[in-house]
Amino acid sequence: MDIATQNLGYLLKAALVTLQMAVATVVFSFLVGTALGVVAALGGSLARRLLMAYVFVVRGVPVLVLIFIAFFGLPRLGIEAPNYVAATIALVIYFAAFVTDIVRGSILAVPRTTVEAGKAIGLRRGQILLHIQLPLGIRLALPPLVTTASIAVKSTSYAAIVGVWELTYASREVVERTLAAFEIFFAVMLIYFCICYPISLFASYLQRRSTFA
Amino acid sequence: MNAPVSTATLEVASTAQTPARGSAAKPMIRVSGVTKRFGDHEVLQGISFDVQEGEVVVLIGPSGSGKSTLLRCINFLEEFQSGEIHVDGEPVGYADGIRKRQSEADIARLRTKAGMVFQNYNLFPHKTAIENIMMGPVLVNGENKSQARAHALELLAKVGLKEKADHYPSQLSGGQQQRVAIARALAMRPKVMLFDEVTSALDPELVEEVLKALRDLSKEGMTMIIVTHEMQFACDVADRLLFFYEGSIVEDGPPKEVFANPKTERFRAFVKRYQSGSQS
Repeated sequence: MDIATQNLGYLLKAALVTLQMAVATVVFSFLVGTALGVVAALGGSLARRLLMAYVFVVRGVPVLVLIFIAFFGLPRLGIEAPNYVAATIALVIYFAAFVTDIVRGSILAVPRTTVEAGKAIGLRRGQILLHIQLPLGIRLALPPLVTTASIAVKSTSYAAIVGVWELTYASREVVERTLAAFEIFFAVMLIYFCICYPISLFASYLQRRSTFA
Repeated sequence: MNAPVSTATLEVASTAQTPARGSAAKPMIRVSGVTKRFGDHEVLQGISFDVQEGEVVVLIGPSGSGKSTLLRCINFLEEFQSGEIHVDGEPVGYADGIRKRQSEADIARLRTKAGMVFQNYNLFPHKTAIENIMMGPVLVNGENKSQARAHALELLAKVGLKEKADHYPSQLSGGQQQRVAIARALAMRPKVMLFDEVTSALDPELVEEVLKALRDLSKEGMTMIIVTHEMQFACDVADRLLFFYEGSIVEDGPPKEVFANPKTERFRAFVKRYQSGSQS
């Protein structure tokens, strides 16, 4: 384990890049996905169909391929983005689709009768969304969203393929230098876990807080 | 003033009742020629009737006869194909004369005039009893919270649930939930109250507490339309009984009269079926 501790500083520095990408991916994909999910649940039929197409396409494409497309495609569009930006954009596009589907399903799972009760006291569509459908929907969406967030964090490791210097990339560097594959990857595993674990903790905190007797 | 006529005794209703309250006045609810189809099935076949201010009208009839659908049309939870509904002089759902759907804002505003209580209470499960009641006044009427809270507590006291203000719906019995739902509807200070089989989902021993809340309301002169299967209650509380059959009104009159001289064999048959079950 000495080799791991000797290289820990280097790995943690790379973990910081992973953490940044992870936060960006989760925050943006959740914001975008929630907005799109609302439209997918309640919007016009054209918007709904387009979003469903988006979800279907993304479901059928490996995240790695999306990262390649972003990495090689953005320069073609005349956008000079650093590799970690390209990778993060791909991750956001990928995970926003899952969030869209989760949020859509959760909003539609709120009973119609509860929505009608809101209408009956004179609430407007936006108020029903804000005060009834979203708060009730989020409770349903929470468990799948947590799973999605953890997968998103771990998927940042794919960015290593396009040369982003993050935890997985750095760990391979160290392994090549030290030839201590087991020790290093074991340490890396623990670091990934330490990044993901707070998400689960936060989620169970939210869940405890949001249960109504 | 519109003195509440029925004081929970059959005798009162028996005095032949040509509209006790100003027949010249505008009706509180006017339903004229309303038809409603679900696909090929015509659920409402040209329903017309007026409800005067302070009047309690009870709709009875077999399941699927259109009673609940009509009630939902009055609050525009259902669209209807033709005819007009007016509540407090204002057209519901479609602008006067033309079949154009009103704006969402107009529909929402109109719904506040008619308080609706549902069979399955439909309380907001993530809000406490008092929050359920305050939601409309605060969000729709822009009342400040302390004012809305005070009014909500008054209403909870009125339905006998003051001590349950901070309970969530899941911590309340069905009867209690339904009384909170009644208070929630009343909080909007509606002109009329619509009750859609409000005791049908309740355990038998919880029915009476909800019916009592309805009786109290009728005594205060609230204009009400009640869909129910509780025959005895219907007779007690109704100024007027409407019997629905296959999307039409086939009996209409004070309960005593309707029961004494039904115009149709269908009504006789219907009553016979219920007499064994729901009357003690």
